[in-house]
Amino acid sequence: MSRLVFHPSPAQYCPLDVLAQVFSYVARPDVARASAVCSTWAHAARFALYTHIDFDATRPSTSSLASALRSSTLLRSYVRRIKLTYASQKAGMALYDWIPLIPADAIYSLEVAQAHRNDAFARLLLDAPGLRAVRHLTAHGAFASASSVRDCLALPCLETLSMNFPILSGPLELKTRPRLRRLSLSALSYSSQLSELLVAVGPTLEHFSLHLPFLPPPDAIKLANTLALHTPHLRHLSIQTFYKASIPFLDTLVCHLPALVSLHGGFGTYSNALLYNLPATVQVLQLQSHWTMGFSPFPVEAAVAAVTRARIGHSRLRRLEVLRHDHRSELREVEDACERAGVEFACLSEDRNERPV
Amino acid sequence: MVNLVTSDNESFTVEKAVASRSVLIKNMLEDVGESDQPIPLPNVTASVLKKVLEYCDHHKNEPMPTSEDLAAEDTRKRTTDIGEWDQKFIQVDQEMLFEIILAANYLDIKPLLDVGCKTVANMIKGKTPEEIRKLFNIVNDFTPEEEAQIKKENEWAEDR
Repeated sequence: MSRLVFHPSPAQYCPLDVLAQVFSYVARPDVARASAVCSTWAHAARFALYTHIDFDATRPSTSSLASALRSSTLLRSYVRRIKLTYASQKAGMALYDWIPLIPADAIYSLEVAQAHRNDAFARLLLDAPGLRAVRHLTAHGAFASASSVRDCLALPCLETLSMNFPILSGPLELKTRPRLRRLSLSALSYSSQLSELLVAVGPTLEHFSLHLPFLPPPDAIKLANTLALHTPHLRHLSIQTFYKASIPFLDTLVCHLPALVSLHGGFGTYSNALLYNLPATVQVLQLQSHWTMGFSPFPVEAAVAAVTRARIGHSRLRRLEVLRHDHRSELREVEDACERAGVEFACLSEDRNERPV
Repeated sequence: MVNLVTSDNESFTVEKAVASRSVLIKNMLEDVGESDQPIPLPNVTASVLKKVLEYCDHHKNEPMPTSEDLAAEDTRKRTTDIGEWDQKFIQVDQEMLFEIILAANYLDIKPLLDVGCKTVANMIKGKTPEEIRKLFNIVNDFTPEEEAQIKKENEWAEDR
């Protein structure tokens, strides 16, 4: 008998990770078709299609995805990451009834984008056994009440949290001490509850990013004091404001953050003094320079001094970015100093990053 | 020079720079130090190793991809572009194509694995399951019920 008859096709017995890589290069409809080729390919295709569920309530196919997940224990066992977009009451809670059925502790990352504030939806998520071990949580609009914020901070494995921080009437009264490493918040204003959260998570916090429309002086002082006293391990700090902050609180705050490696200073949060006193640990500095609501010239001389210190080895600065600066020619001197010092320089006029994603 | 022995007992003597394109071999060489011991490759046949070494020889002077490059590759939008020489190199029958992929996977030659996987990806785009089976000589091991079931469960993914 010919050897060829029993010769297995290598394509049929390809390892899962190789097929997964093949499927990463093709569009989803191609993966769906490839799933019907044979059982090996079906396993790899399920892996590609169900490990990361991108569940967009506005997409026509979403209800069939929901019914596939609802009716199959096998498919639900593949899920590790979930992104929910446009979750709303209108779409009906029934669309999400597969979430409580996911095996306990299976999901490590949950992202909720553009959700309507709805306590029943927040409860469904926070009570789901599959979500108990979530490590990365992004929740934009999903958690509006103090109790849902408190419960999401009580998730025992949470390391990264990015959320719109709601306006709350009473204190948060956190029951547990969350061990967050990264926190990214956008809020309408600084509040005592936000302070309370920072005090609670401060001891483990390494990344903190805050996006606010305004930061009036009393709030800026409270924020600076809270960070200086409670976040000894902070490595990355980003404070963005839409309107000019009225006091340059970062100038002195940086001296109280011994681990700081990268700093993003919003418009008005810093002055010349920040650049003159920049701690030697800081490697990446991003400064929002001016915004259409006001104008203040970029502190060219101070920036040149900071860059020069890097050149003579007195600081570890390796990248300087000036954001939203419309007059690049003013920065020529800074750019030249960076080139001499081997510090990367960039001048960006687009608002391209740092909004909590 | 390095001496490599295939599963069908053929031995290849190649420059260290060529053999070291394989992270597996590179690590083995670092572990044993200077030695004339032949390195056995029990998962690779001579015909496949010959082809793989042709690739390694052509790319021997390029810098090895660092772990940073690999991380960037993952986050960047994946493209199925393949360089000109690589495209010609990978024009082989389907069985050899998969043998090369499996060898690249075993020997840990990431750029070759990428070329192979991208080639397969380009071949399956727009094809039906039956066309893919024919193309790669795959046996349909589903019962009719299982096949209907799997088509139904993944129906949602067929529209964009």
